[in-house]
Amino acid sequence: MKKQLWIGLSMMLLAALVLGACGTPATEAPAPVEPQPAATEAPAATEAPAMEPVELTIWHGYHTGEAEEQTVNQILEAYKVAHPEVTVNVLAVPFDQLFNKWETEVAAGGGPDMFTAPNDNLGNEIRGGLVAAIDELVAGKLDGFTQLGIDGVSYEGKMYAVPGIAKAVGLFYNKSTIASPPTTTDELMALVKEGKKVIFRPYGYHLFGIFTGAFGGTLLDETGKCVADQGGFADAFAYLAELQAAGAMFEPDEGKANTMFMQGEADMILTGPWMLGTFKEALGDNLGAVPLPTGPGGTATPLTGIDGWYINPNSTKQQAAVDLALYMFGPEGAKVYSDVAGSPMARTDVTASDPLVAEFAAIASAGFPRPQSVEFGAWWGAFDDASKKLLENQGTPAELVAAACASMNTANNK
Amino acid sequence: MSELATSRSRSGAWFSRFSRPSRGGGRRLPLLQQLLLQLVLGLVALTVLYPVLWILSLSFDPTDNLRPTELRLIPPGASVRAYEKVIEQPTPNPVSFARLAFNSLRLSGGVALASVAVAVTAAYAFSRLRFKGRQVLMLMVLTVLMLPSIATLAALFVLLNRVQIPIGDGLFNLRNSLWGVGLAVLSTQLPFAIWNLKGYLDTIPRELEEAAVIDGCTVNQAFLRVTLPLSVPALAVTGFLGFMSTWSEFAISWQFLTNPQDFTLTMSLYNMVGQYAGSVPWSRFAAMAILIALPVSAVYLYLQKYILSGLTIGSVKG
Amino acid sequence: MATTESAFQAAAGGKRLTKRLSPYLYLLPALLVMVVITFYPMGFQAYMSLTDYGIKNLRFDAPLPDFLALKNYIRIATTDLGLSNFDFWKMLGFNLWWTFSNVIVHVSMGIVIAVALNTEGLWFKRIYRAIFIVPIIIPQIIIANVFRNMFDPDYGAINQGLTLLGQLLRISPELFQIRWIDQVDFPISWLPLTLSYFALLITNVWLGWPFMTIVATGALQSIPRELYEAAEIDGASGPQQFWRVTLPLLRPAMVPAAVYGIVVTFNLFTLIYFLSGGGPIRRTEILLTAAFRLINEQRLYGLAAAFSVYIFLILLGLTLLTNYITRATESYDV
Repeated sequence: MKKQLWIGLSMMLLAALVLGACGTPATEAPAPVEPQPAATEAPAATEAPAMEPVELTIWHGYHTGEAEEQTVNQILEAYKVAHPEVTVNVLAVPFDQLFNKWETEVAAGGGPDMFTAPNDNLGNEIRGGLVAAIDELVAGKLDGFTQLGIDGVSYEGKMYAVPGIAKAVGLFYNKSTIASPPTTTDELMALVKEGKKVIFRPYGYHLFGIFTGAFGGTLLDETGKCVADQGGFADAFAYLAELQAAGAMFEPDEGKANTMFMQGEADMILTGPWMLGTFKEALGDNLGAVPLPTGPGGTATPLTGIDGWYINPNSTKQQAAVDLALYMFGPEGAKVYSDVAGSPMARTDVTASDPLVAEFAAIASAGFPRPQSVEFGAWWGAFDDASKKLLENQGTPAELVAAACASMNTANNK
Repeated sequence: MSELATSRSRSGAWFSRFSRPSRGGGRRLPLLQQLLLQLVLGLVALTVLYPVLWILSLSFDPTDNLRPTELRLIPPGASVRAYEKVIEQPTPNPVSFARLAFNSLRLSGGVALASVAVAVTAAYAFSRLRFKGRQVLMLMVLTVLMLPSIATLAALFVLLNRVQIPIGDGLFNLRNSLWGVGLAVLSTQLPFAIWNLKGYLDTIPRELEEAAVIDGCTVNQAFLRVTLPLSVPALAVTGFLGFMSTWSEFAISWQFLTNPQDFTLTMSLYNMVGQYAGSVPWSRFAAMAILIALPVSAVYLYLQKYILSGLTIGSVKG
Repeated sequence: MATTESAFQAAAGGKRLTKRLSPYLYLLPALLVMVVITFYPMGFQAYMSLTDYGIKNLRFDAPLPDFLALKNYIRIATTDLGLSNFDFWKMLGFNLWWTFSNVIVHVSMGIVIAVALNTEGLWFKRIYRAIFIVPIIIPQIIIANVFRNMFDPDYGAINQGLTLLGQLLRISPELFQIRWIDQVDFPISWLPLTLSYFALLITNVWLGWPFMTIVATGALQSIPRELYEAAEIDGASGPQQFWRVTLPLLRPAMVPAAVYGIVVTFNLFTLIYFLSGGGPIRRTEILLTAAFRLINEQRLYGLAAAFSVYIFLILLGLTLLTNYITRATESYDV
């Protein structure tokens, strides 16, 4: 009985393995980088319809089931109609794995043809040789892209991606409970004291605009040294602490914060345009948006990031990939992004049908372009930490800012 | 004096019921103790089952609700929609649920089989045979147990990536395949399997093999005919534990694989809760969790007899 | 006995070359596999830890990384990494405390419940045994996320359950808005452990005691009844029987289980990463999650490798120490 059991089990598993092994080579044949004839790279291919079948693999990190993911699929369907010889394989990677996976795959010699992501890591990727410079491939095709977009994907004069979405955080509010949204930090404080609920996120990325623009702080000087402790930041910290004491919520969990706003438990939330589509579904016409409030130091300058399509330097189909990218972020694709996902596009020829999207596009234009220097990379850990500690009453604003600055400078050897 | 003695012996007898192992067919437990024990064990069982019931209830909840406002085990409007959604489209990638399950099964089954098959001979050697370098090798095997696999990820990535074999007009990259993932997982499973099996083999009396040798068997025959059949419980345990660890594996898989047709069930679970997940779709997550936990429970129930005896008997001697 | 034993060894060892090679043949498959996929990466890791291996070195045509000798190790030990809130010694201390507090609770609970389950005449024994297996067969990633949901301050099951209990005892519900995972201040001021540690402890205890119970049950069932009867005849009371007979005979089984528990708990990555993410400002970070972060977020392979070597050395030390202590205190003679 025992013996039979074991024989049976091993047979079953063996069969599964064999079947699997037989099954795999066929499905693994479309390996990411194949030696392909150079025909697809002929410059004339983009004018005359290139009839050679091309297979492209693209990655994205959009959340499961959200509007941006739908957008990509919709645009790809339209592209298929216009260019039937191009087959596109899409892979959705969890966002926190996206950069890691791209970098390791490309560094090991493989990888997809292109991927889309914010320009968070652009500097590091350029320095590692992990994204291709595409100036020649996009020459003459950059009509309609705003300078902000192009600058966001360029470094030292060269372009490294086809720019698309310009994202910067703003303040969403619920029109049914907030009659007039706050425009200054004092108005915001007054609203909170009245009892209106606002959700902030305790992270440097979201609060950057308040630290720098609204309270006049500067993060880095020209040499890359942290000068945040020389004013501005400390006042911003003090303001935020006061806001929290008056009743503002600082929620670290994004899912929870978003759900609270969508279910009406909060009247305002500080987040970015990636949530626009989802919020609109939940709140409909009651959704409103304004820039971050102006403060004693001036208008708020949130970090403006540019999402782009980056090309793999190992890819043998770079021209085809760039063409796809130009379509996705071109006039037709950008319109879909704008309408379906509510993404503010960095284009001059796409007008958003939704005033909220236009609002965020304006916010992005007025924001602070994300620096790509090595020194800036150290700001995240240091200031996320300082923000967290501030909200947990682990030190005075001045102390926390000074400590964060010192830690940044140590990490950067300055 | 006598009262003291009797009261002590009475309480002693009362308590001794607990410390003595049961032999079956023995005394009956007085009602008070029975109820007390039932209360305690019942509470423990409740704490064990509560999260499971919670996941079940989340999976039946029709809204992707993070914020159930009451502790309700059967949510209002319970439906199996979440299960349908998960089976229909488990991940945004173009791969079916059946394929994911198939991949998980063959990866886990393969690693379990391989780890047991490769480890058993080595365990036998460590346990029974005397040879030079035995202590050193055994120590080396043990020390590997202490290095977590996540740490060796980068090295394995580079190593397995070098194996690229052209097949037909495609290129088979060992790293970018389930074989590669299986090998990477095997690298940590194997030392554990060897250690576990050796421990168990140590408890099988040598006299049996020695008797077989006296009767004319070679060492190999003694191994195959005498030892191996006796070690079935240990093989079952080791195989099951290997199956379980591989089934729950996602970090190596996400790092190595890029073809959606190779993805496993647990990878798509991770897709739903990655660190920056905008909002976790709790109902679907719970449905997926139940569907993932079920096969492992099935395998366990199937092998239960062997696993329990393997875990208990083998561990007595350490 | 001696003759059969030597006959066996003669058959195994012996004069002929093939027989002498036979042990090595048995080892061959495992060794072959392990050399390639286990020992080589370990060696490569050790090499990486002595360099500044980073993303720029991954391409196989890339330049070799700079050799740094022990600089990575020194930087970690002196907390000179520029990572906020990172203090190697505090992290190590937490890691050790985490390991031992967990294993002690697991083993104790395991033994107690095993003993309780083992009483004669207990009803529903099989049902309990089946239920108590559940924590072992559910993948950790699921448990970590579900418990994270349950520990939510406003809507989690734990707080809601406590509030219910509080209402029964007439305690106001505000007391139970416990911020398990985010609170930075220590709940007990003289104990430097955050609430997220307790949340993690509760979850890991839920996960860990069934394994210890299984091991203990096996060992319990092999203790011969005659010992207890002999002890009772000698006048030992119930508690004395437990301490003098049961526990020492459980020891040989529980010690390897405890050592295994130590190794696993020290490196308990999935639970900590998903439940607390290293805790509010790294207060529940263990060495392994820090190493993983270094790889995943900053691609500093060399540094992460140095971390791994530290983990390895510490675990090795711990295991040797535990083995030494238990062997030295072994004093039973059954």
